[in-house]
Amino acid sequence: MRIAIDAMGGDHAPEEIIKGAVNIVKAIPDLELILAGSEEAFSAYLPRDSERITTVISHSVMAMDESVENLRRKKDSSIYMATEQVAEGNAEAIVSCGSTAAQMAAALLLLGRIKGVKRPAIVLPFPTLKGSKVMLDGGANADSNAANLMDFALLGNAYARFITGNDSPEVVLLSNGGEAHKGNSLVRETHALLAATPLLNFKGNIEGRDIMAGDYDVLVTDGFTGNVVMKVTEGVASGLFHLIKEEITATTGRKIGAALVKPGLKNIAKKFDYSNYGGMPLLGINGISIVCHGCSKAAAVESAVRAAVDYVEQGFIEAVSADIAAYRHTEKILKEESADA
Amino acid sequence: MRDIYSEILEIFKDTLQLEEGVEIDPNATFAEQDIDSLDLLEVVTAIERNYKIEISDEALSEIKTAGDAEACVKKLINEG
Repeated sequence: MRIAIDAMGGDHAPEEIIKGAVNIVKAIPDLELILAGSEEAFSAYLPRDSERITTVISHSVMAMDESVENLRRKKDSSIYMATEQVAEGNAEAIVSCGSTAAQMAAALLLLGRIKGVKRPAIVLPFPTLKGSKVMLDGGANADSNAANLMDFALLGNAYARFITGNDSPEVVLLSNGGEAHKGNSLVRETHALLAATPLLNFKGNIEGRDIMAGDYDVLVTDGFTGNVVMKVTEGVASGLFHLIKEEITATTGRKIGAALVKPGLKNIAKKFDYSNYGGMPLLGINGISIVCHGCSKAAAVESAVRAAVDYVEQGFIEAVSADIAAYRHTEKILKEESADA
Repeated sequence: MRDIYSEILEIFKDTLQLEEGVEIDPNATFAEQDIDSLDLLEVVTAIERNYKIEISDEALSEIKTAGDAEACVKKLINEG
């Protein structure tokens, strides 16, 4: 099994990315890694005796805020070169903690879309009271129409079926009210599409305050809203933990109590720790491209590589492709029947 | 005679996986046809690959419609 890694992408690159790579290759016996990065990075951080790690030398990096159009001129960038390893058959998946937009663009240009997918999406894990659920689009498409959201629902459904083994995951749409008539025009139009299709187990709208309850498997929204929801959640969780810490350590008496609740609080914090989720695949791309949080350190990189190995071994692309093909086939039959009627 | 416009339309359809029957209006802007900058990036890369040409950033910034893409490709082929 060979996995390519963008060694230059992320807030803590290249040091933490290379460190994660060195650690994980020691932990998985038959794993080989191909790191795309600069000569300087490798001479500084990659031990000379690293076994089963090869390198490709990149000469530029796609910055977090850089326009994806620049990727055309940056074919020597670490994300492009790492993705190219998959496109050329040298690696079976690629992992990056760099710009998600650049990663999506590189994946689209080099790996293409799964047949039947018009809009690929970013799927995000969401910690809820009923375990981890998924939300999409997490930000691949800032502007979306109802047909795009229908695509996200199909992709999310295929993803949840693959991950949970549940044949009929519950799909919900994020809105500002549970009723079908609530929401902006995009949400109302999407609701009508989702409610009309027999292809999904659509359970209607949920509000933002219901996200944490977790009474669903797949939460569908547009990329702009999805990205805002994710970042607000991270911010609220982080702020809340700081407030709790301040309050429970404010007096000596409280500090004694704090020692008792500390293990429980640590468990909750773990659920919100991105490094435990190990990165998520770009959905709808015809190859495995794992997106990690930009703040990822070595442990998160290790989890992401483990996730990549699992997706490859379990035939993720084949499973999603088969699901999408089945949806499109059924959709076609339904359209023909409706035209005949 | 080679029909560059039809070839370009095929590249659009193949790359963006447009459904059968969905047509690209040569005069409507990409934005009007739900084709975003990432879609255009994919299509332009596919066009470059197909015709073995290089479309500069300047030329790309002027491609707003499929008709513009056709004109750009014809110009580059004639220059080449």
